[in-house]
Amino acid sequence: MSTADTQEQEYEVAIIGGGIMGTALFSELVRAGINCVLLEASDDVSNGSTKGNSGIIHSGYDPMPNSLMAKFNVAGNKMYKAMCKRLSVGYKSCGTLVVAREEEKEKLNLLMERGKTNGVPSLKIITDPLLHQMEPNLIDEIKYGLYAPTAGIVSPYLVCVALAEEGVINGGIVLKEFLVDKAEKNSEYYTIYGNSGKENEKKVNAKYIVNCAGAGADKVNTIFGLPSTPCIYVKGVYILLDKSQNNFVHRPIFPLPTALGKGVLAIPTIHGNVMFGPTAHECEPFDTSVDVESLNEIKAKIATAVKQPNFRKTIKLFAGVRNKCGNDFVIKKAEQIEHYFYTLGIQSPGLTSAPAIAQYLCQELIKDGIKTKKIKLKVRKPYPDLTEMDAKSLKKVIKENPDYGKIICRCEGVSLGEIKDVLNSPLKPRTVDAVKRRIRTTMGRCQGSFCLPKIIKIISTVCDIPKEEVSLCGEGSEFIVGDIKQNGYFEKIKETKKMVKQVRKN
Amino acid sequence: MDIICIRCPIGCHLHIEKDKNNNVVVTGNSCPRGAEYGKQEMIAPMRTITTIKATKKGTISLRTSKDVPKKLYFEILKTIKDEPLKNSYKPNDIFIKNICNTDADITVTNVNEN
Amino acid sequence: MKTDVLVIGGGPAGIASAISASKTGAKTTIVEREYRLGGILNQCIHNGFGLHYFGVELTGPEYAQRFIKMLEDCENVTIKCNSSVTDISQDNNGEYNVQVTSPNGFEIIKAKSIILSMGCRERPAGAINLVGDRCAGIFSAGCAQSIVNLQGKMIGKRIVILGSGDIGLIMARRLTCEGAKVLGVYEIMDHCGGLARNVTQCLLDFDIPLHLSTTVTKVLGKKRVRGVTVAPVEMGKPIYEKEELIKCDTLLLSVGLIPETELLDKFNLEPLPVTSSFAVDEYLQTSKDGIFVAGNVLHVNDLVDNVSHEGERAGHYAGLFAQGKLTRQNAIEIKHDEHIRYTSPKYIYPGGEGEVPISFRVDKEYRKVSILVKSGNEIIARKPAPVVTAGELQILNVEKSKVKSDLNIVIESMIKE
Repeated sequence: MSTADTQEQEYEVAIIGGGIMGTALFSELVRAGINCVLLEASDDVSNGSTKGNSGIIHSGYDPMPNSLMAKFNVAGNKMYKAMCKRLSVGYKSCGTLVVAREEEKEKLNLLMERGKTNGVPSLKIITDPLLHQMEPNLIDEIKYGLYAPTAGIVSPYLVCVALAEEGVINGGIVLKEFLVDKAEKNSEYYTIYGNSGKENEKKVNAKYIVNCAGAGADKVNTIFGLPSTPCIYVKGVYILLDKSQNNFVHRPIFPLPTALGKGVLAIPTIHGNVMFGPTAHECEPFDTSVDVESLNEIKAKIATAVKQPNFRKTIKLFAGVRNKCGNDFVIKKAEQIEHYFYTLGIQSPGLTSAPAIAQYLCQELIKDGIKTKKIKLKVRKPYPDLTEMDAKSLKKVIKENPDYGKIICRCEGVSLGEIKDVLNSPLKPRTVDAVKRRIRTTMGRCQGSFCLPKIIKIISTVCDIPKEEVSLCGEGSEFIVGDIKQNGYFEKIKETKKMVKQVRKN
Repeated sequence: MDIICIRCPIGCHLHIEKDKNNNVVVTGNSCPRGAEYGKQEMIAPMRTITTIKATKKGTISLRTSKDVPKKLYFEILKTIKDEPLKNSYKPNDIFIKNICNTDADITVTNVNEN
Repeated sequence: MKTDVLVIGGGPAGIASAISASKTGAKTTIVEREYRLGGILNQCIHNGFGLHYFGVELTGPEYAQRFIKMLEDCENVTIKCNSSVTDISQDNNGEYNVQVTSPNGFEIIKAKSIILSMGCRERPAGAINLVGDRCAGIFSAGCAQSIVNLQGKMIGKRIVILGSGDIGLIMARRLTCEGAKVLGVYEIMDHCGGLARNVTQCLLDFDIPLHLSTTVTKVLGKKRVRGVTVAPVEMGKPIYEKEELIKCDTLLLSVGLIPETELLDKFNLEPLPVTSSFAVDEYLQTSKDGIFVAGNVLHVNDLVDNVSHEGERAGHYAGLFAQGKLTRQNAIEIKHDEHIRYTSPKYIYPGGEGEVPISFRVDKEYRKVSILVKSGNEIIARKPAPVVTAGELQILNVEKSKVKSDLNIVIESMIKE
């Protein structure tokens, strides 16, 4: 469908924001036969808080009883394993462990009680010798652990991508690089504009709007004429170690939570890395920069729970920003305008809660007049992962398509065939980071220093764009500025003489 | 002029100047090779130039077949840039003979296809 | 497929190993993931290679091609390009099973001995705690070199280089000649990491400033680098109060090399901590029989000529091992004083014929010293050195016949009191 066609069409629902909340809702509505468009500001889904969090599917002991967080956390947790199976994405039922010292035992018991009140099953307190058998890298002072077996870990951005793809293959539309900045309403529908007034202005018409724009949601509300809601933005920094450290912990380890949040954790990732974080400091809405103080804070805080990790194996530092609106989720139908719903403050446990909130919002939309339709569900296919195949399957796959035998990302074992599959996948990713989130190219121990030149070449060839247009994450983040000039130029700099003395310090 | 000798790892600090008879005098060296290097650097510094030329399918890497005067560095790069491409190359082909009258050739060292 | 010796990595160490192994009569296979042999030399278009080995200064590709020609002339050698090793295991009778993926298919090659010659990777931004934004425009120097030299494309217009090792210096020159403005090379240590010749030929020739005891403290830029902050360093710590902003669109990182040893992680070989690699004996064999290591993956070399010599040794002994002609007997550990950070090999077999080259690095610069190799109370080798630098790899040849019960390498000052 051409861009022009998609913009002329009137949709029943426009979802603003392609994070885990928006894509979960997108998939939910499309599967209910509702005609849906998802508007994403950046070059890909999952580009906001969804790609910068711990990837934990919480069991639900942490939120305050009777809060929306408690309700949707527990409900979402129950849905996750089956949802991941349906989407063919990984889910690891490793459980989580909140650890405590001798004097903190009471606090741990209170947490367990809270969990029971919230309806979390199977919580139990673990002591030694089992505790340190389960997690040998806990420090000796840790005597108790609250074990939540219904918790798990996922790749949060991959779940988000899979939900978006499921929606697209079943008839939903995703429009990327659509930064909503203007909205109008007539008696029939809303008209939503992106990049308004510019050359690449886009617009769509939709009867119902659901604002799931995360850190941008409050701004979007004001574009629709709603008042601004007081919220803050909280940055969480993480330190990621390479796969050689994958046995450091076997499940996410939490300190006791405080008023400030869940604290700094030790988290195994589903791909076999381990990471430490997040911090929690107020920041500007989209500031994902990492600072030295945060790194020091992470290292100091995890030392209260686990032994010293081998930080020399650090391969990446990153940060995500969550939108915090008081102490609970804000999930509302607007009073001032019709057919408009919004979510704010979808911080932790947002990842876990998203599918449950999506179901709830779908019900609210039906109450507001939307009709559903039964559709024949097309199943989302996973990207082939050659590292999971046995010898026989590998031989067959490579024989049918030799591109699967050409390894491009050596650290993560990704072949040319897999990269081409991703470039042709339903959302048609075009950037290095979008490809990375789907099949882990440049995520390994060399962080792309070997494969980036090849990936730029591949994206350029397969997507038929000049190398100068291949980018990290959309316009403005291109790698290549042009051809080699083959004739240099240089300006004389006064420091030359000073430098001679400096070069060899005696 | 003051430079660091690059003939061996010691890296003597050489001081080079012309005396009243216009002879080049080198001080600070620990051996004759250093004196020779210093003298050459003052009179006519020489360099081997290596570079790349883009081709239709990728690049070819090039070198001067021997040291050339440093002052011709960018002129040589420009001449290489302006030289039209042939259909194909292989290592050791002569790309340009006698570049800028230096008696050195530009030879192909490698062919890199995309 | 069965082979006697399997060489993993077709760069200079691998090619020399394969030539040498085949000369022992062993059936040799070399596996290389790129479409051609040569390894990193293919993108090192500058000269400075081969002065020791061939007596003439060559560019990287020229050096590689001479060795490739020698390899192609060998009998008994199979060359597999476009092939990646994904796993190595050992079966019950001691043979190694090496999984290889290529467009031709997936196969398991059985080998009696393997030589790991996969070189190094560059240290990434995350590993040096580089803070700030994570935008486009941050490249490791080798990655930039590949794009510029092999694809003919430019990666930026205003460039800051962090790290004064040779690769950073070489790229400073390359990028200037291809039209960029290199604003400066920043080095956290108080001395330059690269060779003096490269300071002259890459920085001074092009008026590119070198800032020692200075580091990049932060990267700024949402989508693409817009600037970096730099600060002077004292006792290894940046002085943030003296931070300065430099507007640029590219940051090149030349901050160290890490040996690619991960394929052998599962074997729990004896490590050599200072090098982040393995301890080997004089045959360049690891603590596991039949696994040999050569080149940058064993320790970062300065001269490719030495890499070739190392490869030749490893290939020779791996070839003998595969034919059942190599045994280990009575190894002694090579000890050293506190001025020396490590030696490779770590073990030597006393007595016998021939010489063993022992490589080592010192902990800081020494002038007017003598490097002594002692066995018992006897000095069996001595090398006077007007200067030894911390960065440079030193090599001493030791006669095996003179090695008795122990070996110790020490540094003595030649300046009399």
